[in-house]
Amino acid sequence: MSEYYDEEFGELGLVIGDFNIPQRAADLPPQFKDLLVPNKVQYVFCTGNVGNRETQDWLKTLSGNTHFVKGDFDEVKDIPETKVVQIGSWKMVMVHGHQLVPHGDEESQYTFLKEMEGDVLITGHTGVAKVTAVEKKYIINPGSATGGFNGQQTSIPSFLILEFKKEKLQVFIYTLDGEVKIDKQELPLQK
Amino acid sequence: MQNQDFDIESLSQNLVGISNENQQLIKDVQNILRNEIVDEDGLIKLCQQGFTNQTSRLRGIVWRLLLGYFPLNRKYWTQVIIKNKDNYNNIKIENIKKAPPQNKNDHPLSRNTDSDWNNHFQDQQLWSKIQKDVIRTRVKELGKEDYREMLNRILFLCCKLNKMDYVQGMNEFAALILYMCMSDPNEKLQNESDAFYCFMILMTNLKNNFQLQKEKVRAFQDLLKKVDWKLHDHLVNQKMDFSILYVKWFMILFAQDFHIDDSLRIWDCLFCQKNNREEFLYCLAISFLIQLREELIVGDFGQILLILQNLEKQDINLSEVIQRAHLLQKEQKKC
Repeated sequence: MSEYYDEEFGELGLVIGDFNIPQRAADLPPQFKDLLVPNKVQYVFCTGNVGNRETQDWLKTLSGNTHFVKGDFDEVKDIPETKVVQIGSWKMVMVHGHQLVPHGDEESQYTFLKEMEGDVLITGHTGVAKVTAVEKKYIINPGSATGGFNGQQTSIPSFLILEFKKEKLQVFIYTLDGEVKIDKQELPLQK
Repeated sequence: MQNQDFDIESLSQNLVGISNENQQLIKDVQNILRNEIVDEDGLIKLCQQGFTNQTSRLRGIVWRLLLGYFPLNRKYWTQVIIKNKDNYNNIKIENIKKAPPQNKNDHPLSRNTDSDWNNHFQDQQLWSKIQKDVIRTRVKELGKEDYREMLNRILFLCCKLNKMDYVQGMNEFAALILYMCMSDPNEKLQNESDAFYCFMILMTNLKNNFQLQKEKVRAFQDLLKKVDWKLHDHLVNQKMDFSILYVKWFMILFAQDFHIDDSLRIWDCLFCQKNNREEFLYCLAISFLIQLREELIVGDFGQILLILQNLEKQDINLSEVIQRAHLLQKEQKKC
């Protein structure tokens, strides 16, 4: 069946992070829990600061392919600081972002991505969902899944779903502002 | 091509090695098919003992007629094949290869019934569920990747179009029909589309087939008592649960485990029964029990179970079983 579907429905990846459960938030918003069920996404990319073991385990139930990078509050020992994952024609580079200074600075993010020779940088730390194109590359940030991140303020809970196609990446941005809102962005592959 | 009559002359080609009796059967069937309108009752009379390896060339046409896939008027057969090939292609395209998500509000995690993404996941689940059974169905005959894909497609599309759940057992039915089509000596009948439509017809005819119906188990038991009370009483005394047989014999219709030629032959008989399928099924089941009477009547619970749950491994003369089943059916009609 896959040969018929590849043209229409691509593989899905969940990009999520900065939970900080239970330090900054009690739990994932119920509306998000409702949406995120097992066996829908092929990949999970976690930007870091998961918080407790339970949340990490929960992420692992969503798909067989989970990728974690270490946030500044992650205590687990066996998570790497950075990670590179190749999905089809897309080279994804993951880093939490607290390591790049100034924090949230596009230029330092881009420089890092270029050094790693990646197409897309998956990063967190800022707590704000963002999708940016820089030169021929992309920087995507799922924001904070719970709205509680390492700053004093809270933000709008959010995460991303990526649909991997050969020539483009479809990004679905899920935010919770009273109700769940979904925005779409299409990122063509530029090499 | 559309107006070309379906060729039945080739049925009597290459009769080397075939017994005189079977050669006659082939020629008799051919004669019936030569008429503009097929005499269905006459055909059934000839075919009701089922086909063996020597006469299996007749199966393709006979099944298509008895299922109602072919009309009785032969001049339409070629048309039917061509038209359904087209229809099937469209069905495949519409249901397996779909247009990209149209709705602007659609997203991958949607659970709306009209969400393309949601339907995509449901389809994937259905496909996988079927695939788990397909990979171990008739591995010897349909193990090739191409055949597996066909079998998966047929089951998937039938379930999807009829909005019904896939149930174990359907794979065995579809496998028999697919094998029957693809192993036909006549190339014009080797069509996945024919297999699909014949399977759809069969599923329509077997509406509640996969539900255990206690009254039927009871009826089976009662008939055995009538025909052979000694065997019946012995089995009952040994605490035999007749509903065990019900699944493999009355629900799966002998389609599983048996050598494929035997399953096909039993189905030849069942299709020839038209509206008396159920009644004949009881007689067939009882005929099997009587065939194994000697071992069963001295066996204890364990031994009986061992024999009956491995029917295909017993040394059975299927021709005898079928003949006896027909006799039993005749006798029951007199009562």
